Amino acid sequence: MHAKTTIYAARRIVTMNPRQPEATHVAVRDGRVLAVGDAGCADGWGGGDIDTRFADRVLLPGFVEGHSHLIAGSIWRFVYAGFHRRMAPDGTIWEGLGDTAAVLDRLASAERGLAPDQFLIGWGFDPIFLTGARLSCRDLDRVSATRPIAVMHSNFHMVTVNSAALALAQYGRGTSVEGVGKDEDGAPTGEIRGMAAMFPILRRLGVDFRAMTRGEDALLPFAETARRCGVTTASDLLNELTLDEAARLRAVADRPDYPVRLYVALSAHTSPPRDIADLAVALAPRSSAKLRLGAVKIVVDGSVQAFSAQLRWPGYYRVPDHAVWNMAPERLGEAVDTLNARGVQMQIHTNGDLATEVALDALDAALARCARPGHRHTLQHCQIPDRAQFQRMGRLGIAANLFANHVHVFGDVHRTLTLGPDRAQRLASCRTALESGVRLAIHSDAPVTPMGPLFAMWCAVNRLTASGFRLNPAESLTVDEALHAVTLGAAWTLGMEGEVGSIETGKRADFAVLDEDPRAVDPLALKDIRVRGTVLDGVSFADA
Amino acid sequence: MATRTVPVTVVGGYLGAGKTTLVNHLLRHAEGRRLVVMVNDFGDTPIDAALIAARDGDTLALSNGCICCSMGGDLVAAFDTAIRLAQRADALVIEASGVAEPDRIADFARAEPDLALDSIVVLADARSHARHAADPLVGATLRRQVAAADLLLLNKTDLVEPAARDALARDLATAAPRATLVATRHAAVPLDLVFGDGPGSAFACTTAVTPPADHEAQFDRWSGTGHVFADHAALERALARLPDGVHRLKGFAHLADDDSWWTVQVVAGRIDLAPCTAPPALAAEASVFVAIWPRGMVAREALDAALRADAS
Ligand SMILES: [Zn+2]
Repeated sequence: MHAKTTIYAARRIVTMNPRQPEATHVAVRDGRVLAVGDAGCADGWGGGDIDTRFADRVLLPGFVEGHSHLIAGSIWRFVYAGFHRRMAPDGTIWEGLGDTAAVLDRLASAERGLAPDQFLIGWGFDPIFLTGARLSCRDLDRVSATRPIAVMHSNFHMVTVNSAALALAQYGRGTSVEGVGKDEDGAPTGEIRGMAAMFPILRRLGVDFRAMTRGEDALLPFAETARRCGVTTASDLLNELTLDEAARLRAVADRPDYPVRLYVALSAHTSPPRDIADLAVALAPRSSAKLRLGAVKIVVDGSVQAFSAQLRWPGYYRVPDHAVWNMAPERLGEAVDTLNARGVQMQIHTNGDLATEVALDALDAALARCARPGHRHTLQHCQIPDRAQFQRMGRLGIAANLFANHVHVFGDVHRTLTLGPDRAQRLASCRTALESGVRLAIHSDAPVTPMGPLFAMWCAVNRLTASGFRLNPAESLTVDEALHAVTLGAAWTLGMEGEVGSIETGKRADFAVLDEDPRAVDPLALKDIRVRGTVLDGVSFADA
Repeated sequence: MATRTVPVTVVGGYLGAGKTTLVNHLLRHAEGRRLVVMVNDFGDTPIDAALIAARDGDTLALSNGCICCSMGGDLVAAFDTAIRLAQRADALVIEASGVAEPDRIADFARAEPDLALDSIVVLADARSHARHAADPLVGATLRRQVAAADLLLLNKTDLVEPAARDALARDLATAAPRATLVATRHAAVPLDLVFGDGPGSAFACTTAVTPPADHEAQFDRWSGTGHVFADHAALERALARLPDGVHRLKGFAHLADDDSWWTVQVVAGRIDLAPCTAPPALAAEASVFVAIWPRGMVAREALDAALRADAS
């Protein structure tokens, strides 16, 4: 007696298996790939039911997003006010807003739909892209003079508010708090910079980022966000997990109708390294097919666009140096050594090349003390390493998950302000990584930039900044390489390349359902390929 | 939202400088003060096991009424919890991480209406400070930590030669010109140097002073009454004239022109004045102040004269 076998027919199946790159049929049994080939591929297994729903579509391995955050789903409870076009978890397309007036229009129409006691909160706002006068408290007062309004900027480190929100925090002319912007007359502009100054406002508006990563309200829209861009395995890189919280996560993730596999990395920043290692080791066996636990995330420095990344000489180009260590270099050495010795995989955020150097020193020492050939330690973002650093990563077996989307979104800012034209060339230097023998993934860091592996591929292949400048095309990936980076490459950084990332016998039947083969379109059109959803464990979550 | 303003003390300094030792010292000598302490993680804070009454997830209840909570990774959530816990406490103490900038943590207290910054205490390890301050990786962070201090504790002075200690003290005095510099062993300092306690409890504390310990010998205290201020401007002028070196001065000032009362808090030159709704019983008619400073830094007569010069 065989379990049921379904044979999906497609216009083309791109397998990412180099020994059988293309097929027209894939047979699925028990949620796994049974056979790949033509209509008769499963005949020897007793055949199966041919399913033609994808007959006009192209199937690819489900994409793997190696660096995103659960909040990418729940953030949509707020009004999107960004410059770039985005798709909400419910499929609504929100056009990008090119000037302040358009932002105010969108806020005003959202305001009309609110109950009298609700606050109006926006997100994704980015004044550096906008023309015209900067959004101010006075502008927002025209949307409502009485209802508190807060518009969070895309970096989450700044917010622009109206007078009613200023009053909640008791901010006024007499306020002298770092980060509360003032105009030349000493009146608050409405711009509030930094977590400390934002705290009284966010607290009174009930914005709780930690709560926004918990429960169905976060997990369901996150999965929808992933599904709509073809992602079947998505990561949450920085979670203050407990054993109880992991059990709650798993209760949702394990449901057969939950359409994405999750990889959740424990934050290393809540306890001493030994306790973190104990917790990570205790979490690992609580993994399931749908929820991967046991890895740890470490944040070493800040970000280049906030001037808080740790840069080597010659430092910042035309902006002040606000570099921070999120973990003292000395502590990092201790944490990396402890976690490596216990066999815990580390996802390490480094933006600046000095942070990368310090992380590599720590990893080099830890691996010399306790060699672990299968460690899978990965540097995340790793924005502007030089070739020698990549070669060192190659030698140590450290993977790179590079922030390809950054080239497009922030490339101009880095060329002209933060890094200057020379080091901006090194942003997401994917080709140097590959040439140095480094395993490569590319990512969105959603919600910082929109989740979308096809968009990340477009960025890595074309390297076009928002202004249309081609930033160091010598670092461009080919479409095939980019495809690898969002499938098997990303799966490797999660230690899951044996289960996902390609369409081969024995692997999870996870597919992305597309209208076109990315290898067959103009590379400039990669981001415009329509995604019809996914198949997970052989079950279709594709749009009808 | 809370209705009470909670005073906040930020404890900063590089790894190993003695932040945890100071926090434990404050907890052990709380003397009836109920402190809420926000620490980076419990693993680093060997709180006396005998003090721990109960543990509930991220918080530890201590038998002397104090509470410890973990800062964890999310600062906003941690502050929210701490403010809630601190509503029934006398002060919130925040132990910053070794690479945090205490001034940025203090910004939370400056911004949040339910909090008020009391002072920033920074510790420097007498053995290793110079080496770390010159380190290309963390030197800049250390220098910013020191520059933010109201009270700078040069700790572990028992472990270095006097000449080295004095040289370091000179460097630190330049790096933190406003701070009160105190040499300590095991971060032992009198609690009224660290805490202003708010005006309401100011005098309760001086009547129940910690029994003179070994470290008490290093400090001078002063209390005075009978000062009269013609108006608000006169009070401001008087406080601006305070001699350098007064670490902390607090009390109640009476203004003659409108018969109003003001609470006064001065920490390392930072002056805080707030109207006071009901004149305290202790201060019947005239203003009353207490002050503390490292021994020999200030002449009592000079302090008294500064407050009297404008007397009408
Ligand atoms: Zn991230």
